[in-house]
Amino acid sequence: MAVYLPGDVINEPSSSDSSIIGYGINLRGEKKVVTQPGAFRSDEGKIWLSVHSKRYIPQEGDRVIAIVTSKTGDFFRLDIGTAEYAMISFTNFEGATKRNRPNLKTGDIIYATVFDTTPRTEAELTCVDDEKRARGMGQLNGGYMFKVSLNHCRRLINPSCEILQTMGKFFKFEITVGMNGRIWVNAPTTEEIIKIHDVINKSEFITGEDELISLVQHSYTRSVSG
Amino acid sequence: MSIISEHGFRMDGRRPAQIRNINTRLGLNRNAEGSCYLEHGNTKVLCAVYGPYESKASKRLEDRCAIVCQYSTTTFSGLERKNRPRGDRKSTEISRLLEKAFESVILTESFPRSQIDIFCEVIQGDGSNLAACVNATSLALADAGIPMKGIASAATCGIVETKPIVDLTSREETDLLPRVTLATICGRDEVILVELQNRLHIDHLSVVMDAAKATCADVYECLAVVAQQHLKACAPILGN
Amino acid sequence: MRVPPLTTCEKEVILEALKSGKRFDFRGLEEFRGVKLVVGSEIGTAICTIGNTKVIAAVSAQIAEPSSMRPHKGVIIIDVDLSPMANVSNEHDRLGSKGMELIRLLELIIRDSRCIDVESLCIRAGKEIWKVRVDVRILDEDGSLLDCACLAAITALQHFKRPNVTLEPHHTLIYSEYEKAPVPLNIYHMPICTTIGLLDKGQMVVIDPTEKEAACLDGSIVVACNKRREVCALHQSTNLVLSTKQIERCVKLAMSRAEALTAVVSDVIKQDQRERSAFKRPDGFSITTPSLILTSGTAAARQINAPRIQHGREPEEKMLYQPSVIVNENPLSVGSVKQEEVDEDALIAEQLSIIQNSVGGVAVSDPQSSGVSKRKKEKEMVDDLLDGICDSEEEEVKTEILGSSEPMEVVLPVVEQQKDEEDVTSWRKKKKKV
Repeated sequence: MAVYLPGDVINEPSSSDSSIIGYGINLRGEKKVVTQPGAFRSDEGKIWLSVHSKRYIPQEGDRVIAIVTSKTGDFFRLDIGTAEYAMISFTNFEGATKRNRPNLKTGDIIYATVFDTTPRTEAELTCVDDEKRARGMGQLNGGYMFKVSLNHCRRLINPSCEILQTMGKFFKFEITVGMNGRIWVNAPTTEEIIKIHDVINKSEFITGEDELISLVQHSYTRSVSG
Repeated sequence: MSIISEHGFRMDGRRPAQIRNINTRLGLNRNAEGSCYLEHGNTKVLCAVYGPYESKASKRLEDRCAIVCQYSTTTFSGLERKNRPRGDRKSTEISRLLEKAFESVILTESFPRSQIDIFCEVIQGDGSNLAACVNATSLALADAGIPMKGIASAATCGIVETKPIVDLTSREETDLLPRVTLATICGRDEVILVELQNRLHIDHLSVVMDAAKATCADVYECLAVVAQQHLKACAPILGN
Repeated sequence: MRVPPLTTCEKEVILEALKSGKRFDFRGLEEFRGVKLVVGSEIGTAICTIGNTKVIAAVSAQIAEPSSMRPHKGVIIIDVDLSPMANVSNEHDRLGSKGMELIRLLELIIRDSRCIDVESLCIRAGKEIWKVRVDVRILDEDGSLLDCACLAAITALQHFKRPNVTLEPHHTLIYSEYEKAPVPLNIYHMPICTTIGLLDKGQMVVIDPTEKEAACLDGSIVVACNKRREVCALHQSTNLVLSTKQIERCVKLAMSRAEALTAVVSDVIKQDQRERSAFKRPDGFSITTPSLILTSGTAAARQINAPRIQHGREPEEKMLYQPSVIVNENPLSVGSVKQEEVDEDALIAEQLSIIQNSVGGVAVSDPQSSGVSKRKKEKEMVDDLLDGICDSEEEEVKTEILGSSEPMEVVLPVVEQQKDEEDVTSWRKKKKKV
């Protein structure tokens, strides 16, 4: 696994037949030049870099967790952790009509998809897909939300990652991961929420499977009140 | 000259547990929603309350009312002429303390996105300035009819050789005397403001606190009488 | 920068956890975070870390003039730098209300509680005193900011040593640390701050809240105590409604904490002193960074072939001289009058010459007498100058015009002719004297 720094040129043999140039790599003429420091990844003709970052830049198609900050006119103003606010129209919720408005207050959180990132305008989100169905999006009730780095989020929802499965053997919980670095967790008791929060934070830098299991076990048996 | 003489009297002839005379007048300022002029002996304070009105965008709070307070002392209020009436660090600190104290008293949830302005002017400062401002502000708020949890009353107490003295004058507010300014609601045991100056030994803490609490209750009695009298005077207008 | 707002779910979970005695960092409700205190290799610097909160303090001293109201007391100045580095919601280069509160509290604790003997900072009453400056910089913020800043400031003050001075009749000698050992400050006691959060109308007490917890709490109170069981400051950070019993309980908690932390500070200072007196180079702040981080120190050293340098003699004189204050000099009488007189006289002489030239031929004055009158003016000028000095030195000073052979009687009629000009100049002089 090669680590590249900005300014390097990629000469990997697996990249020679790639058709899709992904994150962190720019094409300059014929050369593939790296613009962000990261680890090289390739998969079926796609090449990209896995970059460590904390600040989210809106991308169309990403599913994010947003915080409602205010209600203005026909929109909700949302905070998704970017430089500007994002917005969502009242009609972009499942079962919403002109009369039936969604019941969201300041401080609530929703799980939505970014569908419009025209430059120099606020990003627009939606809680329904093309067929006006929610598909898991919408308001997240209860639970606890916290922030981690973006690469950790991507790693968590990767099907080959063991972290969430290992945790599932010890804890019973519900989790939503937003691409903007925000994670929402719900568990029956507050104590479990605290432990799960601790495990997810600490597992960012753990690679071995044994280490992971011992971490989860330690958290499970640990007393929360100190 | 010691603060308590050997016969047990203070410099102005009071006993250690005696407060000064309180004179008040409500409703002086025609423009303000509520106003009050209060005297604690020689300490003279004027307070005006404006609001609630629509707040500026920078201070707007979505769920409650913002309280903005300005404390200023006139240039002739102290022993020496003061060049800056307000804006120096001490005045900003006292303004902040007043804001914090009244945020706990006023029912701010009744007026979201609005602002209440409180202006305190110390015309003559003879000790217990902060306490006098709290008392004047409480009466001004009562005059303005703003919903509160209760009328707040305050007093400054010090301790001299294990004997507590209440309602300090400026001559008694020396550099070495530890003093506590305490403000409570309706004379009950609900403290909204506490401020300590100079070092106080922990064994004396409870003595000073109890004395301050008792004084606040006494001051509250006086303020309550004033407020009732003022209301009775207005009763014919209110349509008895 | 904008801070993301606190969501309802976060607040609810934190409050519920606190009410049942649980915290997100596995602490108890009345448990403090670990304190790490490090002093730097330069005297008078210290870093304090409480959890994620990091504060650095540095103390320096310089000689200044005292204020007229307190001529024999030194001055302590506290400056706090609260930048967006610590917390994105802070404004750059401007102290918001939080910063002002921090400065005010540090002043209250360090200055108003008189923990430093300011009278020992006096060098010459009314003229020279030490001005001690404490610079506190917040590096990272995660709750308990006042505690951390206070601890760092106190440790830095304990660590600091000011240069040694001797008083000479006309000036003050300041010695560098290589000549005479620097003198530590005279500190009477060490006030230690504790932030106590309050919940449920003061029923519950949460010690040392982190920033997220502090945003959910009802209010917090700051108590500063010292080892002598005295309360140095009692300050409410936010609005709160408490009973006096709860205040007393908070004070008791803070007291025990103060005793423990005073021991830590003393230990750190003593250890540093031991290292320095054993001529061991102090580690300074490098021990705060964990050794797992890749540093250039671990790479192999490269040899650099530098050209040979001739070592000159080290400069011997390291003493700094203060400008001496010369007694018996009244700068006002010497400087300004003389300057103005000269200018005025030159101006008048110029005008006179212009008038003479323009009138053409009318001999108002002949060169000889004008020379004499000029000399007379000079004599008067010199008399004026010497008047000032005469008063102090009590000497009789007589001025004589050298090189003038004419007796005074001859001069007089000439003077009368030019009475007008002379009168004007003397009038002007008199006016200036007044």
